[in-house]
Amino acid sequence: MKALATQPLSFHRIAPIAAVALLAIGLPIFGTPYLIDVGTLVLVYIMLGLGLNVVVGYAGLLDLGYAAFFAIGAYTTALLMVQYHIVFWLTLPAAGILTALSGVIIGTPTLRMRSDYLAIVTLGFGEIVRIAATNLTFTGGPEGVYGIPHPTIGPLVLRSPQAMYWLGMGFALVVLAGSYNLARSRLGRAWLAIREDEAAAQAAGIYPVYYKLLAYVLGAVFAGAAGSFFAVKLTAINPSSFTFIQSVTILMVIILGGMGSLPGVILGAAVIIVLPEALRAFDRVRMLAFGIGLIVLMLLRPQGLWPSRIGQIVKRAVALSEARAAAEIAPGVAPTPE
Amino acid sequence: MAAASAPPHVQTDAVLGVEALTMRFGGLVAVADVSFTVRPREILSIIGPNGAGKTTVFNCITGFLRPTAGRITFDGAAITGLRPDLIVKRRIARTFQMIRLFPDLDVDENVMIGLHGRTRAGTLDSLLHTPLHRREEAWARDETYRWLAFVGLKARARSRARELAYGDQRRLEIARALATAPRLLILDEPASGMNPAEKAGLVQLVGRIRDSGVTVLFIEHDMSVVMGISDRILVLDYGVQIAEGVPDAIQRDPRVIEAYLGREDAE
Amino acid sequence: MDIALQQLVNGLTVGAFYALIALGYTMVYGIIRLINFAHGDIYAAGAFLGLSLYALLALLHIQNPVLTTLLALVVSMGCTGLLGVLLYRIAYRPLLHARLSILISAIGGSLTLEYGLFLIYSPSFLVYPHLFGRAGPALGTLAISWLQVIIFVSSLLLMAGLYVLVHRTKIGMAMRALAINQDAARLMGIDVNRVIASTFFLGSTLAAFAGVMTGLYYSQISFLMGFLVGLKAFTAAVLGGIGNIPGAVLGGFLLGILESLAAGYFSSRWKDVVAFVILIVILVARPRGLLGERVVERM
Repeated sequence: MKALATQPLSFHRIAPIAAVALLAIGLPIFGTPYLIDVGTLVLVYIMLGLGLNVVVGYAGLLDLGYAAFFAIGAYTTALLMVQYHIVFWLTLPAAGILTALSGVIIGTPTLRMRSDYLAIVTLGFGEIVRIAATNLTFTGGPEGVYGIPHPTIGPLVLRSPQAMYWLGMGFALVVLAGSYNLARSRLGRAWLAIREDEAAAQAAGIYPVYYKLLAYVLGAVFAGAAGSFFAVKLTAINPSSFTFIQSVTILMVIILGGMGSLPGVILGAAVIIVLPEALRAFDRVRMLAFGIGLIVLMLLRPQGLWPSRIGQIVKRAVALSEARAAAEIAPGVAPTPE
Repeated sequence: MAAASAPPHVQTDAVLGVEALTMRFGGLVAVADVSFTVRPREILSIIGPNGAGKTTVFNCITGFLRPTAGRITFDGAAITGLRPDLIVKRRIARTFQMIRLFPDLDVDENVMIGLHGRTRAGTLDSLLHTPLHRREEAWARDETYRWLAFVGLKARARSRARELAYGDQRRLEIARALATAPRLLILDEPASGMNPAEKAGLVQLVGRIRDSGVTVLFIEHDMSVVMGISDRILVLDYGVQIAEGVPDAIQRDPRVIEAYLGREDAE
Repeated sequence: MDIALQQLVNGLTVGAFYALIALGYTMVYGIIRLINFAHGDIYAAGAFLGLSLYALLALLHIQNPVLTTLLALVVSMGCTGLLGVLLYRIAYRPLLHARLSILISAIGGSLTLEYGLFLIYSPSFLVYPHLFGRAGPALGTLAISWLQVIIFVSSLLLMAGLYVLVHRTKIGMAMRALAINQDAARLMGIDVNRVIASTFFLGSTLAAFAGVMTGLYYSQISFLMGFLVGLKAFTAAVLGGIGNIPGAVLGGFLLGILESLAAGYFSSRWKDVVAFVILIVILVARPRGLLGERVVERM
C-alpha cells in the first residue's frame, strides 16, 4: 500500500533512471576534472534539495534560511578537523547533533505560529548565522576556515575529483534512500494529512506541531550532512557560501524540479547548476531569472518539471485559487462555496 | 498500543460528562451553561435551530475550542481543554459539519491516516523501514479494509477521495473516525446534503456502529433521522439548553416547538 | 547621556523610515493575511525612481532643490504606487487562496525587483544629490540636521494623512471592513479587488517616500537596500501588532530608537541582529505585538 505516489514499474519509469545511472557512473570515468567537479556540485545540491524537500515538499513549511543549517554542518566539520584534528567521519555525528539542536531551538517556538511567520523567522535565522560567521573570530571571520584536511578511509586519502565525487554520491544516495522511505511511511502520511487539512489531521490523532518540527529538524540534519561534505570537498569555506541567495537557490531547485518529487529534485539540481555553467552570460541575470521563474512557476506550473502527488496537490490548490480570483473580479458576484 | 486484530472496543463504560459548559467569543455567548451526560452505548442527538451553538459544543468537547467555563469529563477523567489529538487518544472521535477529508489522497489512505494513533513507527522506523514499520504497514492495510468494508466503501478503495459521491464521502469520513477505535463517536450533521436513500443507509450505519459497542453523539437537523434513531435528545437554542429527554417527549415539548417555529410575542 | 540623546534623535529618523515601510506591511497583512516579501524592494524601487527623476530634472536644467525634491517625491510615489499594484495583480491576486504558493511568489517578486534594479541601474552604489547637507538647528552638543527634522515632520504628516484616509473616507472604511471580514464585505457590494489594489498603492507610495528620503539622508542607495530594511520594517510591524496601523508607527519608531541605542552603546556591526532578536522574542512571547488584539483560534 502506498503512502505517496508510486506507479507500477514500467519502461517509462526505468528508462530515465537507467539513463541517469549511466551518466552518474560514466562521469567520473570519462569526464574531465572540471566536469567531475560540476557533477559533485550537483550532488551537493541534490542533497540540499532533498533535505529542503522534506521541509517544504513533504511538510509544506516555507523555510527561507535553509543555508544556515548547511553552514552549521560545514563549519562544524571544518573547525573540528582543523582546530581539533578530529577525523572527518567523527565530525558527522557532531554536525548532525548541532544542526538538529539548532532546528529544535528555532523550530519549537516558531512552528506553533502561522506558516508565514515561519518563513520570515527562518530568513532572520539564516541571516543571523551568516552575520555571526562573518563577525566571530573563532569561525575565521570573512575569510572563513581554510586548510581543511582530506577525509581518509584507512590508508586511503580521498583527494582526487573522482574520490570526492564518489564520496558525494555515497552521501546523496543515503539521503535519497532516506527521503524515499520517509515518503512511504507513517511519518509521510502524517505530513500529507497535515498538508491537506490540518484540522482533519488533528481529528485523526495527529499533533501537527510535533510533525512539523520533525520535518524541520530532519531537513536541518540533511543540510548539515551536505555541509560536512561540502567542507571537505572545497577544503576551505567562508560565509559567502551561506547567504540568503544560497537558501533561495536551494528553494529554486525544488520548486523548479517539483515539490515532493525525488526525481524532480535531482532534475532541478542538475538544471540549476548546469545552466549557469553552460551559459556564462546567465550569471548576471541568474537571480532575476530565479525571481521571475518562481512567480511564473507558481502561476503556470506549480507542480514543477517532474510532478509528484504532492505537486498535484499544490497544482490543485493553485488552480482553485486562480478560479476563485477570476470569479471574484466582478463586484457583488458571490464566490463559489469551498 | 500494539496492532490489535479483534473487532473494536467492546468496553461499555464510556460516559461523557459535560458540566456548565460556557463558550464566549468576545461579547458573544455561543454556549451558556450547558450540562448533560452521555450514557454508555446510547445514541444522543443534539438538535436546535441554526446558530444554537451545537457545533460549538462539539468543538469544545473535541478540543478544537477551549471553553470559557465548565468541565468536560470522559470516564470520570477531566478532558477539558485537551488538544484534539489527545482527545482522540482518549478514544473520542469526530466528524465535521463541512466534510473534512483528504481530497487528493485515495480512499484507503484517508482511512489509514485514522490509524495513526494506533501505530508506533517513529522517525528511525520510517527512515529505515524497520521490521516494526513493515509489520505495522501490513496490519494497517488489513485494518483499513476492515473499516472500508464496515461502511460499505471497499469497492472504491483506490479512488481519489474527492471523486466519491457526497454520501460516500460522509461514509469515508466516518470510516476514518472509526479507524481511531473510539469509544465515543461524535458526528456533526452527518445526514446533511444526503438524499433519502443515503439517509436510510446512514441510519443503518449508525445503528451498526452502536451495536459494535460505540456510543454515538450527534448533531442533526433532519427530524426523521433524529427521531428514528436517538435514544435521547438534547435541544439547544441560542446556546441555552431548553429541553432534554426521549424523542416522544421532545416532539411534544412546547418550548422546543416554540424555538423552531418562532415566538408568538416579541422577546 | 549625550550618546543616548543623540542616538534618540538618529533613532527617530531611522524610525520614521521603518514606520512608513511598516505601514505597508501591516495594511496588506491586515487585509489579505499575506507578508508582502517584496515590499522592502518596493521601497528600494522608490529610491531609485526618485534618483532617476533627479537625473532627468538635472538634464532639464531644473536646479531648485525644493522643487526637484517635491517633483521627485510625487513622481516616485505615484509610479511606485502603481508598481505595487502591478505586483499585486501579477504575482498575488491569482494565488490569494493558495497559502504556500503565494509566499513563494512573493519571494519571486522580491528577487525580481532587486535584480531588476540591479540590471537596469548599476551593481555598485548610486549616489543621491547632496541637497540638504548636515546643517541644522544649534542645540549644544546635539547634532540635528534640518533634513532630519523634515523627515520626521513630513513622515508624521503622511501618517496622519493615512489615518484620516482610513478612518474618514469611504475607501478607508472599505479597507477596515475587509480587514475584519472579507466575505461580509464582498456581500455588501465592496469591490474587494479594487480595495486590495488601493491598499497596495497606498503602502507603496509611503515606502517610496521613505526611499527618496533615505537617498537624501544617507546619500547612497543600492539595489539590495530593501532586503534588510524590509525585514526590519516587518519586525517593526509585528512589534506594534501586525494589522494594526498605529502599531506599525509605534513599532517603527521604537525599533529605530532601540537599534540606534544598540549601535551607540555596543557595536554597529551587530545592530542588524537587534531587529531579528526582537522579532523572534515578540513572536514567541507576545505574538500579537504591543497593540494587536488577541486572536481566537477556531475551526
